[in-house]
Amino acid sequence: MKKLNLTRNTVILAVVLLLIVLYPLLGAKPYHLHLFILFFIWAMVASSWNLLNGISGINSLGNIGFMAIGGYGSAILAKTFGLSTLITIPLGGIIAMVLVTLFLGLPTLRLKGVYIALLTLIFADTLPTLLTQTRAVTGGAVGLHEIPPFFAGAGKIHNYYICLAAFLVMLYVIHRLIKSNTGLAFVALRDSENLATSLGVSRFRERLKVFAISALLSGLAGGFYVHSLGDISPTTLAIEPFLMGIAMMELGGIGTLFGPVLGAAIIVFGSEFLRLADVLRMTILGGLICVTILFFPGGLMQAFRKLGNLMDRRGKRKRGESVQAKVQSAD
Amino acid sequence: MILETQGLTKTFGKLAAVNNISFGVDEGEIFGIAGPNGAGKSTLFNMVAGFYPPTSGKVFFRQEDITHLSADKTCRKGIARTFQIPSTFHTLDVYDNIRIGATFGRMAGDHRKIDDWIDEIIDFLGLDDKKHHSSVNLDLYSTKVVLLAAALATDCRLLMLDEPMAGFTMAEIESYLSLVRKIRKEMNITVIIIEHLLDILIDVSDRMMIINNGELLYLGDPEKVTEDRRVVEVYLGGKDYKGGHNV
Repeated sequence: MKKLNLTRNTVILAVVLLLIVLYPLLGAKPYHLHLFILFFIWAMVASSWNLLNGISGINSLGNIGFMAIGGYGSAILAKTFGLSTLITIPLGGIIAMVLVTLFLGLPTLRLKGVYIALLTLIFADTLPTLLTQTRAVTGGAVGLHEIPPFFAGAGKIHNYYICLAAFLVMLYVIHRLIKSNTGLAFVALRDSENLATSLGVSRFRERLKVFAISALLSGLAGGFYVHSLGDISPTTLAIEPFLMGIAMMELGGIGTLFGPVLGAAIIVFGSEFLRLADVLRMTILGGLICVTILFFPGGLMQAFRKLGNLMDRRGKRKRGESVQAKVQSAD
Repeated sequence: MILETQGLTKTFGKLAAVNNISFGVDEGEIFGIAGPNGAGKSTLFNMVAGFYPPTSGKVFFRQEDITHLSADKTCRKGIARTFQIPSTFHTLDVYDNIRIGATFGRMAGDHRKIDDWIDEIIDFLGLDDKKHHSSVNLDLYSTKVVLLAAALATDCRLLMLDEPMAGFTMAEIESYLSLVRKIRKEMNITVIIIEHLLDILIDVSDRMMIINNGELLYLGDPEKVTEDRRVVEVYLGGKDYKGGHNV
């Protein structure tokens, strides 16, 4: 039964992936490519965010900040120093990782629950002020514009494939991480910190690790963001993107591999679609999130799993019935 | 001596939860600790296992000062413990619960051996049929055996059990005790066990200690504990203790 389910999921995944890969070749409009690029980037942000909030149960509210650090870092290095994006994007991620590990990872070792949420929120919240105070480098409130593309002459279609590749690689890395001993330690500390430490899991090491990895990946996503869109400003750190990121995790299914990806898809495409509803857009999204959380606290992933189980059970019952019928006819 | 404490003290504000307790545990023995509620038994465990830093005093494990080691480092030295409240890693199955002990305990880094080692532990405690069960829906007894398995998987030399048999039926107590004896005998692990039921503790322990109000009341032969006047007065709450087990 389980095997059947796995192959069905694998088939669905393969088809979706194939469609995504072929999509630009089937004559997609540039605007639609743009939407997909946004989806890839947001899926990266939500997935790396999920490492902290979902897999490790550490309530971070700062990942948009981590992304902004990576984005600004890469943009400044590319624009001001003219470095290749092959170098600036990883460097942006590393800058985010170092700053976050030092200023959040270490201090939160003494904190729990909501206090971690507060500290990470404050961290992300100081960034706009810092950015406007350092106008010479960061462009202040206006932000940075005409950030160099991934390479000279890169168009939408290139951006599409670069971001898609980055997203797939990142998702694979996260998948491997969750399955590894490190992922096991994150989950153990989330489920029961005392039990985990009594069995030799180091809270110190794993907490720093998860902040470092989550910030690195969010920072990298920031790099892909700035070089595909061409600009970044402190409005990236406004309340809306922040809530969007959280909504993606909650809606899709926090703590699962595909949940945040699914959430990102729904929010990115859904909110574009809902532009027709104008002012009601956020209301409808908010309502959708409320309904999901009320009926499926585990997000849409939970809803799908339930649906899958239901189908399996129904299929099994049907088969069971036919077997019974045969037995009866044999009698 | 595998474990030794010297003048171990823990104060919370003005309250001395544990006051100047010195005791030693010999290698290979089963050492019982008893005392009324709030006597400081769990606090003592928490200090030895690195969960609370002691206010004063020292802890030695195999002649090495481990007083200020954190809980995870203490575990990697070879001390494993269980908790009074039996909760597993609820999102993981039984196997992965045990895998955590094996992966991060003293075996850490020895990846090739870990799978065999987990199977060995599962086999030893008879958990084969529950291996891939979710760890949430287990009955109390199985939950505690899983937690025991996770602790053993750390490859400990000293196992500290904090009221492991609370809530058990007599039959479950019997089978749990036989596991404890088997662990000592076949794995040659020293066991410290906190237990409320005095009869059971007297039965299983080689030596025992009774504490009351954070202070050491009795240390020695379990057979003679009910003859000690101070124990009878303070712990059993009267001069005419006639046997029976519920205290």
